[in-house]
Amino acid sequence: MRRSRVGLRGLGIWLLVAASPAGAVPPQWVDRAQDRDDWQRLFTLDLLEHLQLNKAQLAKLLPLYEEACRLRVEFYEHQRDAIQLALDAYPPYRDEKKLDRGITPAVEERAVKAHSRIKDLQIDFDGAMSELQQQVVETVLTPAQRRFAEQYEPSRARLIEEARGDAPHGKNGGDQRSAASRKGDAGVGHHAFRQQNGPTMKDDRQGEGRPTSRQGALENRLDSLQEELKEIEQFSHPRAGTLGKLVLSPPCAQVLYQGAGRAMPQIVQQAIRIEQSGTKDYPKPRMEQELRRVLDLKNEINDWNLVNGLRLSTSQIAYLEQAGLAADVARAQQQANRAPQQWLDTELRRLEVAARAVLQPGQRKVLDGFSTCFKGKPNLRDPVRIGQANNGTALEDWLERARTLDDESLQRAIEHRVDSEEKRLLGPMTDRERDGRVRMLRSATVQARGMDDVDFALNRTDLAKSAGVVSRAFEINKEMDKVRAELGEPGKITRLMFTDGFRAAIAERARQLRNPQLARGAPVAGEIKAENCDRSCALPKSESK
Amino acid sequence: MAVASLAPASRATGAAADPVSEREVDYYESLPGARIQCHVCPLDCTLEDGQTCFCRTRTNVSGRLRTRAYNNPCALRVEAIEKTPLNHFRPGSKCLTLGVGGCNARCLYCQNWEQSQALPEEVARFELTPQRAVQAALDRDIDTIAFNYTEPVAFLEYALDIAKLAKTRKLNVVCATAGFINPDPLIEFAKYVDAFVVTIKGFNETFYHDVLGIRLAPVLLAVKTIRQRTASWLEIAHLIVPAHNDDLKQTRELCAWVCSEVGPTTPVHLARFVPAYKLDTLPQTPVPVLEEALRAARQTGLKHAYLANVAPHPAANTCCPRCSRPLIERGGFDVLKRSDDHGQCPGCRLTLPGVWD
Repeated sequence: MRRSRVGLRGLGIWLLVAASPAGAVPPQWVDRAQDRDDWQRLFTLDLLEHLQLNKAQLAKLLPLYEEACRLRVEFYEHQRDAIQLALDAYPPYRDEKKLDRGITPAVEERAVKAHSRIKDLQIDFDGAMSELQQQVVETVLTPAQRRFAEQYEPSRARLIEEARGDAPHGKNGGDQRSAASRKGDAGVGHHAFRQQNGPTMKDDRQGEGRPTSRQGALENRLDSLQEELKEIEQFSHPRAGTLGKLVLSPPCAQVLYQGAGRAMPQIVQQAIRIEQSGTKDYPKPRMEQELRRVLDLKNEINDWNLVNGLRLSTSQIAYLEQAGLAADVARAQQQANRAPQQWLDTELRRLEVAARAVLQPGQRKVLDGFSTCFKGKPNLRDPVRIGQANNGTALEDWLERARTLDDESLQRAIEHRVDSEEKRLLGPMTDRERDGRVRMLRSATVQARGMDDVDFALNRTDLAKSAGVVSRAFEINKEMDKVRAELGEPGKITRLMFTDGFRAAIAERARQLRNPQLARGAPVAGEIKAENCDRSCALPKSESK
Repeated sequence: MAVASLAPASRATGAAADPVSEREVDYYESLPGARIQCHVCPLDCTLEDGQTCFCRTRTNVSGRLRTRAYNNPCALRVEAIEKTPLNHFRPGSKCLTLGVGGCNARCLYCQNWEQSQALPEEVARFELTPQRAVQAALDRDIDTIAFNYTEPVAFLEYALDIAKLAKTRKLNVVCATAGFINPDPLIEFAKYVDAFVVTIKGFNETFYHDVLGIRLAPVLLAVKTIRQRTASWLEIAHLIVPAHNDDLKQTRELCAWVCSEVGPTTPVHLARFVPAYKLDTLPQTPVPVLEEALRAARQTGLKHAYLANVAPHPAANTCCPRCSRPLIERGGFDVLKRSDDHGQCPGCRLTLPGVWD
């Protein structure tokens, strides 16, 4: 059976394969991966070895693989443009955030456009790869391979262990087979099934019995929240899983094409070249360097969003700087003394509590409501002002528009809104949840339509509040922070404020506060004059009739 | 569930058949030849028949001065009283707030310019009689009606009629104004107004002339009139506009004037400018500049200087001027924590000036 399948042994890819137990990684390859920090390639080979694709499967896989290569080549080209756009647009945006004097619309527009470009590009690419992966699963793999691929989790530790021959395999493999394998699903080596219950599998902790301690319960809660968060993220931004990332990646090319007995097409070669070194015009090291710069700028912008939102005083800044330094010292001590993680967590939690104590109630509210963002939350970057008219929320405005729609258009508007909420805020909904949401919006709209203008104007805020939803991901993150706090783990303050970037930003803000001239900027000539009634107060008749 | 097919009532827009109401203006003088001189505000517009005042709301109709700003608010909402801004008048309460199109000033940076720089009938508007306005507040258990968003002096007749009716139903009435109004109408109006916020937009005539199109002296007179000749609670607002009135010397002079003429316990709100209307290319006022102005205000002796349009900021909190204890902590327009006892500091027992319940 094995010879008819296309695993690495069949192809002679693993040179020392004969010396390795079935499915185990040759030690030389592990050494090489460690030396070159090239684990991706090893995981790819490991997965392929376990999948043992046959030639017919390969024939189905290759067109999909070539499509993936084409996507990669295209993505690289587009990414180059997007990165350049961001490198041009982000610095002035960051500089204006630094000054906190508002953002010039053109500067904001360019930066947001660049940000969306990078984001959309990634979403499109990930979405396309995810679809290809789905096709691989549906048209290429057997059910057993599918199950294995779904549960496969790359693990350096496992590969190292196996290469050393520490891990149990071979004769034990059969004992640890999944129900599917016991039913006789063919096509996947024994080793694969052993992995299902191994220490690195996703469902590793499932079936180990219910936690008995409170800590166990909290950890389980954290796990389930993480799972839910992943599900929401996958829904709003579908990404290929491990299978797509490994089997559709350039390191697979050699194995696949040798196995199929075909020469690599140009697009595949191009994808490999790009993966290894980029293009002549845009070498990979440069791309990586520039991408890092873009990410740094983005982080800096996020730090300024928080700093501007918090409006810290100089004394608060001084305290937070100290707390940040103490967090760094604790981290360094932990590394130097090899202290347990729990010790560091306790230290960071202590510092977090102290840092929170110096914030005013309004600042705590801002921090609690803050999430990583590029543009900044509307209520922070452009808070409602004294005496300002027309400052309704988006849902209030939606309800106002909905009042004017006919029944058919209203139905469409509600469906459209629910789709968008599902995508942006709520994550995947069951039919029942969706119906509930539609009913809630419909009820609010019916109420809004039943009111006259005056009643609607006076009730719109309450009505919108009653029909509003909060981002589920945000809620989950909030709850995760709560659970982490109960577990004694550091939370949002460590993540957002005990960082080098945040510390640099508050140091800059402290300088501005000490010297308001720095923030004042150059005076602007007031050339426009207000209309005045120096000569005659009355409006001309033509203007007043 | 079936969708209600009730046709939605939409707000009226565009010119009505007769945009001028029957409500006659209370303060004007008839001049020979069907001419009229309006005396509501210090512009004292002289109008030929058919002409409308600079405020766009009062028209000479055959020798009678009638208002166009009546029963037709363009903005109507339930708001926090802190948005007026009033920090010492029933903190944390809600008010039914309204404004009507038109204004007697021409502020280059008006944030509500779409409404204020238009005839009342040119903007989308509600049909709201004084009776309905009062009833709407009562129906919602809102005990305060506020005139805000646009200039109440431009819709004084409407505001006065609402205020009179509101007082008969034991409602509070508050008003945010630029204070460009003549003393007589102000005193009459103030009889029905529990609290005023007057915005002193700058502290020299050039700024008032060039940026607002009006004059400073009548505003200062109005502020003194409210303090000296009425029973209304008074707070002062001052918007700091970069490169126009952000000179620290000017802020000091303004605060010193408030201290000496109106009293050091008068709350003063130093507000952040956000680009709008014809000054939309200016930056927002930097917070350090506002904080510098705040320090200056406190140095001049003001006991209750606040920062506005900057949230969250400790300078939005009401603190005891004697022991510095924070009594009312705010986040934006929300009161997050209140530890005063009817305006009294629980620490040193000092009672702060204001209307607390």
